[in-house]
Amino acid sequence: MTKKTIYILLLLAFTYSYAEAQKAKSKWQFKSTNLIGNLIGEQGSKFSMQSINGFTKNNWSVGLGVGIDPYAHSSIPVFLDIRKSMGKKAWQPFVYADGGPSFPLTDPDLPKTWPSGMPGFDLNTGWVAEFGLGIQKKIASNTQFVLQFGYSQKHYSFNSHQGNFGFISSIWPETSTYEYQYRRWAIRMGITL
Amino acid sequence: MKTHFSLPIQKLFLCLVIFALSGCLKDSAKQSYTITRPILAKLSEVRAGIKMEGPVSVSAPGKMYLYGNTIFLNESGKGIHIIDNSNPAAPVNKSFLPIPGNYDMAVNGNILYADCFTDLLAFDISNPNQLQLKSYISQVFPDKQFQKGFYIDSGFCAIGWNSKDTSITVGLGTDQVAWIGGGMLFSSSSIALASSFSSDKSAANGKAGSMAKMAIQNGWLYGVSSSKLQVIDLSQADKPVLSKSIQTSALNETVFPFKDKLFIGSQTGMSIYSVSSPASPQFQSMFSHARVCDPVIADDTHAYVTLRSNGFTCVGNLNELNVLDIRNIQSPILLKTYPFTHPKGLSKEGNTLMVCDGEIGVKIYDASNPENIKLIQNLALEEAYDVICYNNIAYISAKDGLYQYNFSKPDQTKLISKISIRHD
Repeated sequence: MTKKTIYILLLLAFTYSYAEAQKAKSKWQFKSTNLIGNLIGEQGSKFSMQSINGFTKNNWSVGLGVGIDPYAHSSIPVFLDIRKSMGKKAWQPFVYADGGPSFPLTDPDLPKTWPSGMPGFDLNTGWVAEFGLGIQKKIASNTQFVLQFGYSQKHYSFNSHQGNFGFISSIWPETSTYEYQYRRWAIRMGITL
Repeated sequence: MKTHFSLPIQKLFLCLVIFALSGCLKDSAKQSYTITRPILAKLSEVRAGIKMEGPVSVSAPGKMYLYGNTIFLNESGKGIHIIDNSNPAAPVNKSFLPIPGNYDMAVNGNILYADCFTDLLAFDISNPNQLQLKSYISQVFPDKQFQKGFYIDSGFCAIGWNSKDTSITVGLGTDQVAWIGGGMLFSSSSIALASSFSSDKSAANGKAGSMAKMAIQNGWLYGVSSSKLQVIDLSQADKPVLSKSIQTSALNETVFPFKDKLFIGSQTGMSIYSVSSPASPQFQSMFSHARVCDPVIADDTHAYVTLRSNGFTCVGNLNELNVLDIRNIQSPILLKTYPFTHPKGLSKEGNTLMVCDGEIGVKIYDASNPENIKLIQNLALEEAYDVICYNNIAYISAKDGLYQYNFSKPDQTKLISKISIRHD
């Protein structure tokens, strides 16, 4: 987790410094969108957060995002986000799409090793993807309010090492891979700086 | 103004849409695994197919057995390499005896005894170039009927496995994941006692490693099979007879003979049997420990037991060497515990104790004081499995070869030779 955090922080720092450097040379503008909201699906409703940092030009925005996705099994998604806004009205509609790897957080129900020493579970890196539409409105000179709604899918998987004991029925597998597809509605709101 | 009024209405509408649609979304889960099924063959056909072959490269070495100038080296599950060790500096891999389902062997006179799945086979080795199967006993190792979770009918064996990838839909919660890792059994060390002990007799045969499941003593072969101690009469060496089958309380793994005693390593402890009456081994005592794998060796006064965790088979989390005082055979006393990384086979000659410690290699100790053994040297061998110390030569089975070391000066061991192992 420490390596992942460092990796994410470095990427964000790079994105920020690159955007700042670009700002001076071209029309690319640095943009940081920070969203909170809920993921709603069969497993209930879960609060989630995202921070997307990138740059924008001619109504197009590209950024790198990181968030917390506690739906069913907690994970840290790191994703590429692309947005296109339309029109020049006060309430400006936009469409967006994002996707990337989703790093699982440790789960006490799925220990790597049991206290007995037996191997337990290996959590795999999954993925997330989301697309949708929204509206944004300028509320200060460099600040916009954002409201968006979309469809989000999270893939989560782990390997379970169960092995064979003589007393277990005949077709018991040694290692199983469990894969989960979580389909949710994502409603988020926040501000763009 | 219109905009300010319309925002809450938009939000309300959006919420209604979301809750209306949330029922449309369904999560899904699947479990993917590989099913293995045995390829069965009749044991009679397997026996009929056993024919001596020329030398074959060693690729998965298992247990060793020394007999005269010959090293018998098991190829796990496949057979026995016969190595002429007349010149330890240049051992010659002479031939290979393919025995499906073979892991253990022992030699008495001109007869080689080897397991073949559940059965015990007896080969005449008087002519090393033409080994002959003389006889067999069925069901000496009944635990071999359970393989990879399958129960294989008697008279049959699994000569291979077919694998097939499979996916099934499963429930969404982790409670749908079937696991068995939780509460495995652990018992604290304790002593169980029994009766009777008699004086010594011994017999000279070949020499097996501490991981062996078979031991020959005074013209009797003792084999351990999960919860059984099999007593086999070798009075007619080429026609062994299963004389007695003794039910044991523990899941046995190894047997080590010393004078008129058998030291049996099991997953839950070390049992001591007296074989002063060879046909009727008598249980003496048991030293219990947490559930781990534990080969054992012994001398007149002490027993050395390595405890090792090993995933599913030996589910405990201990990795250590226990030294026991066995002067009172009915009441072994734990004297000292030494931590190890992943100890496996061990052997002792004189005051020199060698312990295979998995990836660490082979540790050589001065064990003149068993309560304070002193590390002399560590042979950095990859995944050493078993060791036999005999006449100042250490025979070591490791991942990359069969090594022979001279340890007449334990602090200055000298590599005599190595038979390399081919990894496919």
